[in-house]
Amino acid sequence: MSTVVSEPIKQLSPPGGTTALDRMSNRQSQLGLIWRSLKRDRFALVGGGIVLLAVLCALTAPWISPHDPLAQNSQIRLSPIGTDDHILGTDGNGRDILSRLIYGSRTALMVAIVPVLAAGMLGMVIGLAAGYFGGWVDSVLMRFCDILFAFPAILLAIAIVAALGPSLLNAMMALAIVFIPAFARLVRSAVLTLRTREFVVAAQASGAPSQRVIGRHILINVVPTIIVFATLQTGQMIIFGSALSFLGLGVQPPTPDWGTMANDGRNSMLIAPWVTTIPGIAIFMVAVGFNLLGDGLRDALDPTMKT
Amino acid sequence: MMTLVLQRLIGLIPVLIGITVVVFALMQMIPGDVAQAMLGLTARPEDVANLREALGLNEPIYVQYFKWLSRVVQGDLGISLQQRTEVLPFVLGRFQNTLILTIAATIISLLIGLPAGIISATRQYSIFDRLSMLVALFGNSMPAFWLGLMAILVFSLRLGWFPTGGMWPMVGDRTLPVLLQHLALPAITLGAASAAITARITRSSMLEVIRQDYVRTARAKGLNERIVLMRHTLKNALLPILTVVSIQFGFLLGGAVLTETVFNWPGIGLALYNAISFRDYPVVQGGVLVVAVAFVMVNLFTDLLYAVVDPRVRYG
Repeated sequence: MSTVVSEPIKQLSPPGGTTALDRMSNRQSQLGLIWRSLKRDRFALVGGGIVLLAVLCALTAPWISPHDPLAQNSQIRLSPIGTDDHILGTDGNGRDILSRLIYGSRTALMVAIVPVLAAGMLGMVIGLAAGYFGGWVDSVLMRFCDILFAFPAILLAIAIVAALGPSLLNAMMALAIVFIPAFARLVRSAVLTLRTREFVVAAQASGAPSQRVIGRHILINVVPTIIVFATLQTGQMIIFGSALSFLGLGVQPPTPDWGTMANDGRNSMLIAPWVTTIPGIAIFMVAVGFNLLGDGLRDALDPTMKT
Repeated sequence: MMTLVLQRLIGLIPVLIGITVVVFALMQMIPGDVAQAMLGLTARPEDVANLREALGLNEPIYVQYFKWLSRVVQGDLGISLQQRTEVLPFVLGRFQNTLILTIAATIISLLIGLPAGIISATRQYSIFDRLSMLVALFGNSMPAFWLGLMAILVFSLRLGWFPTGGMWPMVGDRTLPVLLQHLALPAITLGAASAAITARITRSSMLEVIRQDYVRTARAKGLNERIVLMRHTLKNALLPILTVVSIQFGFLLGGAVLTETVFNWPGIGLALYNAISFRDYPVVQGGVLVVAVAFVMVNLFTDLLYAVVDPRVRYG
C-alpha cells in the first residue's frame, strides 16, 4: 500500500542521477573508511579479536576440543586446573571443563545472535513502518512497543519461557520478543529525521513508490545505526541468555552451556571454585568483546557520537 | 501541574490495560491444557475437568479475559497452588523485600556512578576518565548471577564476613545491623552493573552540557569552577541522568530475579523462580503483573519529577 506517492511519474533517469556503479564505489569507500577508523581503535580491535576467537571456537569445536564434552568419569571428579590431560580441570561429573567450554561457545553465541537478528529484523520493519507512514500506523505500533517496554526485559523473558516451557528455542524466542521494542524505537527515530531530508523528499517527488524510497534511501542510512546497536545488544544478550540457562530456563543439561556450567558448580564452590569461575569468565570475556567492538563501530560510523 | 498529572494518569490507562492483556496472554501461551499443566500428568481426569471448570477455561477467551480482569481490579489474583494462600498478599509481601534490595542497589549505583561520571567528564581523556570508563565497560559485561556467586565465594565462604544468603538469620534478633549485613552482598552485586551504566550516561550527559555556550560564558565571567560545575552543568545534566535512574530502577527490578535466586533473598524474584519450578502459574502471573505495574509507576513518577525539575516540560 503506497499512501505517500499520489501519482506515479514516468522516470527517465534514476533518482539522484547516480548509476549502480557510482553507488557501489561509494559504499565501498564508506566501508573502507569504517575499516580504517576501526584499525586505529585498539580497544575495538581487541573486542573484534575476542569475538572472532569465540566464533572460531564455536565453528571448530569438534576438532579442537580435547575430550567429549559429555563423557563422564567418576574417577576424576572435580580435578583442579592444571591436571594432566584436563588443563582446566573437570566438573562434578568428571567431564572435561575445557571441552565443555569450547562446545559451550556454540549455545552462548547462538542464544545471543539469533534473538538479536530476529529482534533486529522485526524491530526494523516495525520502526520503518511507524516512522515512514506515521499517523495511526505509528500510534498502533508504538503503543504495542510501550506495552512491551512496561516490563523489565529479563522478567518478561523469564515469564515467557515459564509459560512456553524451558528450552533453548523458547529462550531465544523470549529474548527476541523482549528486544523488539528497543530496535523499533531506534529505527523509528532515525527514520523520522531522515524522512524530512532533501534526498528523501526528492525521491518522493520524483514519484518513487514507498517501498523504493524506504529500501533505497532510508534503509541504507538506517542500517549502520542498527549494526552498532545490534553489536552492543549482542553483548547484553550473551549475559541474558546465560542467565536464563543458569536459572534452568534456557539450554537444558547435559548440553554444554556456560550458564548451566556456572550453575553446576554452585554446590561445590568451596572445594572446586573453578567449575563456576571459568564459565563466568568466558561469558564476561565475550560480552566485553562485543561491547568493545560495538563502541568502536559506533565511533567509526559516526564520529560525532564519540565522547 | 495538576493538568499534567491528570494527563499522565489518563495516558497510563491504555498501558495498564496492555499489561493485563500481555500477562493474560502469557498464560494462554502455556502449551496444552493449563489445568493439566497445573496438576501434573498424573492427575485424575475428573480433577482436571473440575479445575478447568473452576478456572473458567471452558468459556470463550475474551470472556475469560474480562472475568479475570474484573477479579484483578478487585485485588483478587487467585490462590497460590503451592502456598495455598491468596496470591496478592503473598506477592506484595515478597515485593516489599525486593524493594528493599532494589532501593539499596540504586543507592549504591548512584554513589559510585554519579561521582565517577562527573569526575570523568570534567577530566575528559585523563587517566581517571579512561580507567573508570574501562571499569564501567567491564561492569556492564559482568553477568550479575556470576558476580554474586563470586562474592559469596570470596566474602562469605572464604572470609566469612557476610552470610551466604537469606534476609534474616534462622535464629536471633531482627535488627537493622543484621539486615544490612544480609543486604550488603546482594545489593552490591545488583548495583554494580547499574553503577557502570549510570557512570557512562552521567559522563556523556555532563560532557554535552559542558560544551554549551552558557557554561563557557560562566567560565569567562571568572566564576569559580565548582560553581560552574554544580550550578550550571550538573543541574542541566540532571535530566538525562533522571531518565537513567528510572530505567535503571526497572533494570534492577528485573535483575533482582537473578540476584535473589543466587542469594536466597526472599523477594518477588525468588518467589517467581520457585513458582516457575512448581508450575504455580497464579503466582507467576501475579508476580509479573505487580512488578510491571510498579515499573510503570516508577516511570510515571520520573515523568512528573521532570516537570518539577524542568519548567520547559511543565509549560512546553
